[in-house]
Amino acid sequence: MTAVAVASGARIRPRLGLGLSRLITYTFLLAFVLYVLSPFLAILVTSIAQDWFGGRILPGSLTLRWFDWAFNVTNLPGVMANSFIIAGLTIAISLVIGIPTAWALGRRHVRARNVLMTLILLPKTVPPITFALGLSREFYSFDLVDTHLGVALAHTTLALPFVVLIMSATFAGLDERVLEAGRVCGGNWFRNLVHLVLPMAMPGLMASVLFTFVTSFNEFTLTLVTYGPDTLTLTVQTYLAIGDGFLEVASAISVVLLVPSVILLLLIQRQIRPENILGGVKGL
Amino acid sequence: MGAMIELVDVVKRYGDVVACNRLNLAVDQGELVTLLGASGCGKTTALRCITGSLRPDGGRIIIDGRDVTDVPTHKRNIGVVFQNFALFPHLTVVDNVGYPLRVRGVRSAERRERAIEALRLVRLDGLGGRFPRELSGGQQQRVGLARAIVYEPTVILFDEPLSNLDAKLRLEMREEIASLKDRLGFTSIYVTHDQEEALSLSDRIAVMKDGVIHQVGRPTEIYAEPRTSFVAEFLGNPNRLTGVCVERIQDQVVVEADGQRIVATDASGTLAIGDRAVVYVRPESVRIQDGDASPDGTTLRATVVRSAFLGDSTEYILALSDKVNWHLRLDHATRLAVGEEVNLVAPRPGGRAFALAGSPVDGSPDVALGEQ
Repeated sequence: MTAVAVASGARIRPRLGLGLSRLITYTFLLAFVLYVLSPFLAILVTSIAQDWFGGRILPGSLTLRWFDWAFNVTNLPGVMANSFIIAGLTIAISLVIGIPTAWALGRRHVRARNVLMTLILLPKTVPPITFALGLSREFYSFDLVDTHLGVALAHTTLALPFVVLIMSATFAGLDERVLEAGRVCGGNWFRNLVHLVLPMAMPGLMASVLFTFVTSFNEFTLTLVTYGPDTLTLTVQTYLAIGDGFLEVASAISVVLLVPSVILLLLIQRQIRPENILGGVKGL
Repeated sequence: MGAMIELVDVVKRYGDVVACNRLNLAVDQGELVTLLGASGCGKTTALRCITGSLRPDGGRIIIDGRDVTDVPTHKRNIGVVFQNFALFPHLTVVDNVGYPLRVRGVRSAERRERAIEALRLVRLDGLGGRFPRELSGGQQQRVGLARAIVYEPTVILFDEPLSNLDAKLRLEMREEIASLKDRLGFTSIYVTHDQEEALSLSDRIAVMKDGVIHQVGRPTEIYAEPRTSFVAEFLGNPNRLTGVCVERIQDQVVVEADGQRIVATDASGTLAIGDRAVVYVRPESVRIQDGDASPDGTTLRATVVRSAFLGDSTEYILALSDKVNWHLRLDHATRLAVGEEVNLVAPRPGGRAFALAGSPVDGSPDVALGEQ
């Protein structure tokens, strides 16, 4: 009796409510999507638009001139190279410091572990400009300003927390018995590292590399206080172009700047699933 | 036929807890010796000392005549079958089994061939291309077994290998391990808390408690002639009676409890008249005596309290006194009614008597059991 009543109620009710609730849902969804996407849309259109002033809804015509300017007038290839070199260095430094730290935090009993974790997270939690100010003073005294290494070191302070968090979780998730099995099978620490630990930690490593890359590539505040003519990055170049009043060129550079983030987003959506590699082993 | 594995006075402490207290054990070539005990008895700690995952605080570990106490795990040439299988999740079954060969520099083609041969031995032919997560628990443990035997290690250690399997699979894998051992003749130490597993698989059993080996012996020996009250209590499900030793007849003593008397073998040979003693009697060695109590006064009077039909037999709970209940399994030829009074005897060798509080047995600390 009750089951029948519930079933029939469930059949009628949604039909009445469906139209309205759907309408509300989709309206909010659409508003949200527009809100998130409209800046990107504005940049995209600006970067290829000509004669788009004075309240015109659509640009008069399309052009690649702004990209041309970006590439030739602002030396975009050189700036891109800087961004890539700095991102590469940031990845290298972050992994070299972050992986052993993460191993210690994830797999060993570390005293004052919480204090350590807070310290690592500090650069990410304080106002960036405060941190940048202190950093720039340090860097001037060490002659690190306007060097790739210097900018990369600044970026490392922001990327390292990601690496430590991701990798310590990854390492903590490794089964000690599996590592013991590797030793029992006769593998020395190096072979076990190469054949067992690295492959098992690969999802975490990939995530660390990608997040570090994007953090560095998109970083602005700390770059602003550590860059110089030789270490101009895409973000700073965009800023300078805006300051010079070349909104169209700034948009063109921004579009280039967006590419890695979009690629990362797609990768995250389909690739980085630790359970694809680690999951589903019975008896754990 | 020298010992393949030898533990000499092995000590391992965790802070104030002594997990292994001067363990001595020698395992001969081709022998399977079980470390049997409840969780926390130190058996796994002992095993991990043998694998090299733990460094003992004292004593030596000798494998095949070589002192390996300070040798790192990967140079000990041992195989381990783990409770949680511990397979490499990112490698296929063939690569899992081939890993010990890979680190030994065996070339790819031969590696594959030997891995497939090992998989055939554990009856997993044709599953080599799968990943561990695509296999059932039982299959995963077979892979673990194949990985442990493929490089013909000096010894194979089993760390509760069946605990993560369900009852039916457990039986099947037990058979599998027994038959592999017969075919390959490996030397092994097997750690378990499951006494049935230990009794059925082992050549010898070492019963452990609180970091101490209480007794080492063949399964029949351990079962029939426990040397400490712990071993007697731990194996099987014995009936017990606590009382005072009132008489000694050679190696037997008479223990009196609540006006009842029972004859039992003095397990330690140290009981004196007037000592408090506990007697353990295996249910299968208890008989119902027809007719009257025997004149020597060593029959026990009991009242049937409860019966439970078990299919092939019936289990009866019999009250010897207000506090003491015994259990007894009888085939259907004998039927007892609840409330009926019966006379029980435990013919030689019958029960085994232990001192309740007294001198230690064989250097082992006395296991004081609380009175009921």
